[in-house]
Amino acid sequence: MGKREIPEINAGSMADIAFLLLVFFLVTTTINVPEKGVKTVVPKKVEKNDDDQIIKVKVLPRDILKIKANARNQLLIEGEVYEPEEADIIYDMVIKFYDSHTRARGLSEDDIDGDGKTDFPVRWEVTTDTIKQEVEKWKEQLNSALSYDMEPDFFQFMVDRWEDKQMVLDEIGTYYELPDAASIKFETDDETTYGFYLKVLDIIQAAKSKVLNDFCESTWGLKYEDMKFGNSEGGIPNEEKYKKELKIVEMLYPPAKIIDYADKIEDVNY
Amino acid sequence: MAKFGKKQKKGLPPISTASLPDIVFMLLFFFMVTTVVRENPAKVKYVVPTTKYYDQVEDRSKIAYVYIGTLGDGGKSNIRYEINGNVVDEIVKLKDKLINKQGEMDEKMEDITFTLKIDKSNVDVGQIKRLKKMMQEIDIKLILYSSEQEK
Repeated sequence: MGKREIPEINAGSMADIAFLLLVFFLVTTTINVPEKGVKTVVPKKVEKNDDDQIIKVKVLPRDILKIKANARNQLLIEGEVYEPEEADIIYDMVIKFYDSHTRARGLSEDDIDGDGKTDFPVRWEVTTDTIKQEVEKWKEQLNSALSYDMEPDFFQFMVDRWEDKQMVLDEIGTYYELPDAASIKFETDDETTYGFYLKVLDIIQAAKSKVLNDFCESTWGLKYEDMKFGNSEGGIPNEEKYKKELKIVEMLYPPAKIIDYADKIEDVNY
Repeated sequence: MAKFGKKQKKGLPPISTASLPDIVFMLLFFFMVTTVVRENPAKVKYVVPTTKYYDQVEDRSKIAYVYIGTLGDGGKSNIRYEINGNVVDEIVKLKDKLINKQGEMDEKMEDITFTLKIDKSNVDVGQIKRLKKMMQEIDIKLILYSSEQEK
């Protein structure tokens, strides 16, 4: 039986076919880059309840950094008018808002007004004594709430909060906290252009991230972004690893201090 | 008389092209793996703002694009909303389209990042508020204001 030889297949056109496919993919595709932008969250609908606990805090005019933008993109900050091109001024103001003045507890309002009036929030020193007092006070209220069958959530929250402050004090030593009422309010007109709105948000965000980075670098020698979003060896997210540190940052620079009026949508109709 | 020697026909041996398909296939696979199919260009015209600070969303399977811009030369009076190639002129009409999009993607509403490509000069904050209100009603949680990065 003679073995019949199989003729070799001509592969010369293979290259042409492959080239054709290659060109097709080159033309129709883009390289997968992550989508970049400013992330926000749509506010949750809140049902108003009459018997909700309301925390009353003392608000001083200096505690609030009010930024208003009108329909012509002009800014009104702390009573002064700025043109749209001057928006960068917000950067320094936000930094001052977070890190301007520190005072020891026990000083009166007159003392502050005496040695230089300020337009920015004054940070108060947190002392072990005050923490002890407050923890005891709230624990007492928590217990009485439990014995009267009241909702204990609020009191538990206050106890935890003051205990967290003790934790921060133990970790970093003497520290100064922002008053509860301190906040940045960014108010916009409905006719303010979207581009300008995002520009102001961006400046506020950039200033805030500089403040956080400076604090984290001087305290732990790390960048805030790396601690919050990075991954360490073994693929463990840093957010787990630096849980305590991030908690401290959160206590010193509370995240909910920026109030964006574009989120005030309760009465909006579309 | 000088004798011209016959030039010996030595020439270069022909280069083998047998490995060419392999090389090309390798390139082909490289591009197939590293790329995604380009989304259709939007019908509405928009220029996104520029920011210094930005967040990133990596997972493209959880991104839905919404475009807000102008159609034609109408400027501010000609704002259109676009999703999935559908162009509508009112936010109310966008609502069903967003719900359809979620069904298509087969993800939970709160897991999808709605990437908003919004024109920076013709759209104003009032529109953003109305859009947010509508998104709140259908339990959309994450949004990303798409922006160019400042160098």
